[in-house]
Amino acid sequence: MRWEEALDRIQVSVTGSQSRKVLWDWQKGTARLSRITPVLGGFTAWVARRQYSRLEGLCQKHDARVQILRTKGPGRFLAPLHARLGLVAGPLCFLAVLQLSGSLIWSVKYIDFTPEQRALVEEKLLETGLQVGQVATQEKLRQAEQELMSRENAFGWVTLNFVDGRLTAECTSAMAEGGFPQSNSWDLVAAVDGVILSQDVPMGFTQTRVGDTVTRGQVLVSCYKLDHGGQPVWQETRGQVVARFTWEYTYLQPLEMTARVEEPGGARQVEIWTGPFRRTILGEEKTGEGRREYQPLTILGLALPATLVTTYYPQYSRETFSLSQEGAAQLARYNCLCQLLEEFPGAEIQEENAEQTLEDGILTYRWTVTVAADIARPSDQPPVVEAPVE
Amino acid sequence: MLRGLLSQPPEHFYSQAAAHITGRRLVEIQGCRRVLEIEEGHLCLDMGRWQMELYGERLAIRALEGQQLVVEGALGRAEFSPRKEERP
Repeated sequence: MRWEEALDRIQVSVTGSQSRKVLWDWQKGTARLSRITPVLGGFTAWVARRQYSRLEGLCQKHDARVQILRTKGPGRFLAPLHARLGLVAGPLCFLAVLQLSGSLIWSVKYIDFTPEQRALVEEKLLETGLQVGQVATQEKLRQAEQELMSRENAFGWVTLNFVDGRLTAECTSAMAEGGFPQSNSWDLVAAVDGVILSQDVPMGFTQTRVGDTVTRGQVLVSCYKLDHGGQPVWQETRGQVVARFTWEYTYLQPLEMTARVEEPGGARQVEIWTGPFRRTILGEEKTGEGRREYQPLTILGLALPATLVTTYYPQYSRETFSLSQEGAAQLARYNCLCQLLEEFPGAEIQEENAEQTLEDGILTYRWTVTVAADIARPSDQPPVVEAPVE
Repeated sequence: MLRGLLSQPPEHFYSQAAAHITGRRLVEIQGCRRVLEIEEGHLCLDMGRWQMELYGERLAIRALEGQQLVVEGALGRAEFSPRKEERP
């Protein structure tokens, strides 16, 4: 059986006084007629569908009557598709695009990320060119991984895996090393005057006890100890010494303040990024400071290998605000609190007192608090080794 | 002996018509110029200088492709004769 017969075949009846001449002319070509069976006044035969028009032409030439009796093969099912090639071309194009875009990122999945970590990774992926719609290469993936791992205390480890268009990011958080700062070679001294509430000193030699009152600059943890021979034994120091102390801060808050405010109705530009192609679909690029938002492109929830990038070009104006005294006090307290936490991270406020005076439109806010916080700080002076007592 | 091996067959040997009859059910024919007649129980084939007529029951051409054809059916009789004048 020839391939063309396997596709589609037609059984025809050729009748007429000159029907045998149809066979004569048919024999001049190389096409095949099968199962030629004589019938009254002619014959029946099977012919490949693509050869049918030739047979029909020969029948017309010799005044023979041709009639289709039966058809076999997939043609009857494919005929409707032939009239609407788009039904075939669409899925074929889709498969071709799917195959060709296998190296593009279609979606990014984050596993075990806190919101802060996720924001960090998203920013790094954008920097490295690993957003949805871009080509993922091993070089880019490893580079992004290394840069994320080099961030101090951000991640225990990070892995970026790219399989079949999906980029999966996984991480573990960095294990806190007991919450202690890094060890240092010199003494730990008190940052402020206070009363020690607790001590946790894994390295170094403790010089104080819980309940002791210490003064600013006093050695809390020493980096050496004299042995029996009077020779210093050195050790790095590390630890937390939590003490209760009083902290005071004064903040000047004007009742009138100016701020830059974004005006509504700023221009924006919307682009589609896929691979090396960038197409603007809305607005136009403008000069000046722009704020970008990246959003994976989806249609009815189906991820596509493209990113919708919206660039906002906000317009700012400077506006003057007038604060009430109460509002100014709240703002001043907030700034004082920020200052406290910057100097003593994790400080717990035990008592709080505030004094405020208003003069010439400026609120003077004096904030006095009793807090419990780690006061141990590395000394900026080398230790003075005491001579052994004779 | 070598001369015999290298000698060529008679002229027009390969273009001669040939018929292979297998049992009484199958006839394979090469070099058929035309199917002169095809009727119930009767086939007449133009084989060039001669013509072949096949008689039998349920005779049919299984395949016709250029000058090759395969006839199947219950073959009763085959006749060979010089080619007659072409009928209109």
